[in-house]
Amino acid sequence: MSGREVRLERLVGRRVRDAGGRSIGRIEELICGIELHEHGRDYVVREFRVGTFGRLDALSGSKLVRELLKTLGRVSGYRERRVGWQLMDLGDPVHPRLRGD
Amino acid sequence: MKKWAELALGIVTSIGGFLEVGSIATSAQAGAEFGYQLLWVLIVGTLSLAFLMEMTGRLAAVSRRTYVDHLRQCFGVRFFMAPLIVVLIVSFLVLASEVGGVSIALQMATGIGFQWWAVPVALAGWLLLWRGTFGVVEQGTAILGLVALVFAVGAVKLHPHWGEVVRAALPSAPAHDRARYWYLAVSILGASVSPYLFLFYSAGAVEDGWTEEHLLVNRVTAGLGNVFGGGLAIAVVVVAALVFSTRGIRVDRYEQISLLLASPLGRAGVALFLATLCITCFGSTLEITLSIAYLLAQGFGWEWSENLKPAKDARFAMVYTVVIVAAALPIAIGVDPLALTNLSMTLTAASLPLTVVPLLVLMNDREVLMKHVNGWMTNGALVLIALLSLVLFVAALPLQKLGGG
Amino acid sequence: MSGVALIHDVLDAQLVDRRQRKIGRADSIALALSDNAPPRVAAILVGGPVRAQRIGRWAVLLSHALRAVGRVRHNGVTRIPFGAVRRIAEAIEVDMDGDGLEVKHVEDWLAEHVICRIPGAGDERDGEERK
Repeated sequence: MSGREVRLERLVGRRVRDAGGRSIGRIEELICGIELHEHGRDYVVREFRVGTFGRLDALSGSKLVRELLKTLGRVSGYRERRVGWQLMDLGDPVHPRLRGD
Repeated sequence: MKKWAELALGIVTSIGGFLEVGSIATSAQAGAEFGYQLLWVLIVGTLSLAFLMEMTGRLAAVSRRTYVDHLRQCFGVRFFMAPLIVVLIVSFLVLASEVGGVSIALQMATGIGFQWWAVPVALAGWLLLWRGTFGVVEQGTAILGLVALVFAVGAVKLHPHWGEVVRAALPSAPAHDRARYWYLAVSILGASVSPYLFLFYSAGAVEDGWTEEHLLVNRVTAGLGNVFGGGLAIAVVVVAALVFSTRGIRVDRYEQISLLLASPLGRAGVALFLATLCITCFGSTLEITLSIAYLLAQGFGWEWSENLKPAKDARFAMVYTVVIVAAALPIAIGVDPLALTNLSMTLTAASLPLTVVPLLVLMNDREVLMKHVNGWMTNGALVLIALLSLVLFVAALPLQKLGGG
Repeated sequence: MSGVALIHDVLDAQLVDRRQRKIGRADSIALALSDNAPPRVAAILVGGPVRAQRIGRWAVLLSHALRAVGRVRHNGVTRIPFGAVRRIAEAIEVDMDGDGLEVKHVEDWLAEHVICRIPGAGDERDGEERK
């Protein structure tokens, strides 16, 4: 286990790009669960939630605006995608990418 | 039985808490210069406050967490700094105005200049906060604040033409001094819908241990309390319209406002006015000082409660101690209390989007409020209030320049 | 307690110690990244300097300035291992004692040197909690 440590706020709000370099949205949430092992338990991130507002995406820089648009839900064209941890390449945490094809 | 006592207390609190330096001053100015014509603005302000208080109270009762707590957690610390800093500055100015209101009342009662009263007033307030509990602050000021009912008596004794009063509930454009009219409209809204009111209210709901069972108490307190409280502010406008407007007097100083009740109630009227000004402003002094301490403590996660001994929440106690003393300084060096009041009301109005707009998100969060999220009516009202707050944000400062003189 | 949403449920949430005393808010969360294993939630971080980094440059400068003026020597950051989290509800309860945590330095210093010197403040350590 290498000891790279990153603060959550470095990841949040980052654009995630797929293998083709296209943005699929911004990291909005990290869902974690418990992993048991012989010397105790750890909380590990299982899934990333990546949200996009489609054409309104450029507006969503501020947290307040983002939350407002989400409250409006479908009206704002909000879509959320769940990405399992295996698929998220955090080699460069500031530029997260989708792994694989 | 306990429910009824709580209900009664809640209503009394809002009546006693509604009138304070800002609403007395702005209502008196509005009545003197435009008769009943600005009454509709007061009604809009009162209704807005009632909705906002109901919502922040509901949020606190259901989640057992204060509005500030949610504001920080939902929107993150980066956004949170904006309402934090703006509300701190604005509330501090309003607080200084309240200290000014008490000091002016004491000056007129004793003949000793208001500058000399600022520091003693602040120390007396501090002592109450230091020794008193939340109940003492909330209920004590509320019950004493009922002296403000004297405005209702004054208004009735002047026999206003009630038809005209009712007609003024509908908006109308001014025939003269348009900039001044809209400037006063902004000040009235700033005086009615102060952010400290709902910060204090939601913190109070947590201090008093509200749960879902208190939702009725919450609705009645926010609704009826503000109807009565707003009614008193309307009475101030009516009295000012009949006493000042008919004689062409424009209110530039608190000394003039003190004559409001002299005409319906004679010499006793002056004394009662001074008592009302003194008590209601003192009550607001305590509430705003606590609100500032609540804002910082809840925003940064410090221990806080007006019911704890100061040693147990040292940072919270330190904040209210420093704030109340600091707020006395502008008045102690002789800043004009009425000018300061007017400026703080405009700035309050301009600051509203930062505290109102986030409610659109919070009050629709099912994870927090479950089945108690906003319905179509409360959401509709909230959207209108949020739009109004954006208009105020844009218009307040230009109007201060055009019509503030 | 599975499926914890780190941002919605943990980041910026109120923290209380095992005696239910408020000890600050989750100013940041440290994740340990490694290849071929899921990111591990290492710790909750609390303290002015961490908070300032999230707010922006002006806050970092302000935080440096305040610490220089106050001659603060400790780094001002409390690291709460995520394993100490016991419950996530209205607040996050951690299985620790707030006393002696870095984050309580200011509170303790104020209580000892200022507040408790004013009559009627009560006792800092023990004694009656409520007025």
